[in-house]
Amino acid sequence: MRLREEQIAAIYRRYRRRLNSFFMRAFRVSEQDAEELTQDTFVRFLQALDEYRGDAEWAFLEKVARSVGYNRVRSAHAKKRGEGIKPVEIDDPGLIGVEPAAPHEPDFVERQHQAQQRQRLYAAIDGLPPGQRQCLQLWLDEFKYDEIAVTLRISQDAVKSRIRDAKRLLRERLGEEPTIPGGDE
Amino acid sequence: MITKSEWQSANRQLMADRREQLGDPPTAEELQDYMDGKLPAEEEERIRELLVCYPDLARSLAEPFPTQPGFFELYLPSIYRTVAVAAAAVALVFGFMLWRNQQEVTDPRVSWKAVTLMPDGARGIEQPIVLEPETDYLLAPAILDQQRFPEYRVELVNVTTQPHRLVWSGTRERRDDDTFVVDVQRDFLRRGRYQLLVYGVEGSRRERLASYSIRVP
Repeated sequence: MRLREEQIAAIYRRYRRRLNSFFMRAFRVSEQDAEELTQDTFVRFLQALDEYRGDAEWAFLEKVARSVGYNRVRSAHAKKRGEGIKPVEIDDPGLIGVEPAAPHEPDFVERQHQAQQRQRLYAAIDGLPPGQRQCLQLWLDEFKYDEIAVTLRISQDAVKSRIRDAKRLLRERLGEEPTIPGGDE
Repeated sequence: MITKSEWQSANRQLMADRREQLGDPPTAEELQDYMDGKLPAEEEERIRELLVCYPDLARSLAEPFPTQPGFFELYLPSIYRTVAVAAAAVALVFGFMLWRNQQEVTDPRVSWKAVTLMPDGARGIEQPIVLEPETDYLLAPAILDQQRFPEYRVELVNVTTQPHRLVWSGTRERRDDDTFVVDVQRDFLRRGRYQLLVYGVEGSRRERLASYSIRVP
């Protein structure tokens, strides 16, 4: 079944607010950006009508919306990489003779200690078996068990057991295990 | 003791290094296939690794899509809106009517016109008294009869119709100047001819004391 444009407009009016809030939650974007993504979604929806079977309007809309959102994340990362390191304008006359105040930084010994500590923890996490490491990395990034399960397409029980095993291994190797206040336990 | 921020700092560094190694995030199509379980195991593992080092993408993947709104969710708000608008309109109309009513009750009546009426036969030229229909009147029919009655009754009769029709009657006090006060609002008087009649009442006896012919053009 091919939807007519009026029907698409009706779908847009019906679902626009839900899509906006989805984009704001899922992609952490502003309301304005969410509105833009919603519009993109409906443009894509309109363009992809030939693929649409007409019997699962909502599921098709989800597919298109997610696709629009993922592409945005992808292009944001690509843009970041493309920016690289910005050259400093050393002959900027505004900078001549201006000595900015040094930001507060830990002293050298402290920085050395932090770097060593980070390296030690980095190696410990990296040395975990892949399944455990993936779960632990997302958990350290404050994902909940159910979110990790969806992301890695495994059960929540598997997530819990892998994190438990990862913590045990880290405790054996470092004498301590990570704790995230407020995270799932 | 290792702090939370130290763990997270090391983790962020590891994610950044892995992004460098693994390259761009998966495409929307790859993600769709991954979620649908359509990828071979090796490819699936690659996507998994990419998602771990692109947590913003992973987070969006884990965010549930809103459920499809049902019929009532879709249409109830508009039904509510319609009912609310109708209710507001009705409230407005009633509010206005109430206000009008209040105004009528509380407004000072400055347009009353006081008219002393002489009875038929005592006005010289026998012409009916003419009352303008747009005016509220305070009629003061005077009586010349000196006989006193304990009670007086005043009636207004429409004599245009056949048979004549009593349109109003009431008891009134006889004032010191031998008049009675009858208030007649403009809405009350329709075009036609009327007779105002004053009776003296004593027990069951009723005596007609005066009549006043009135015309409303």
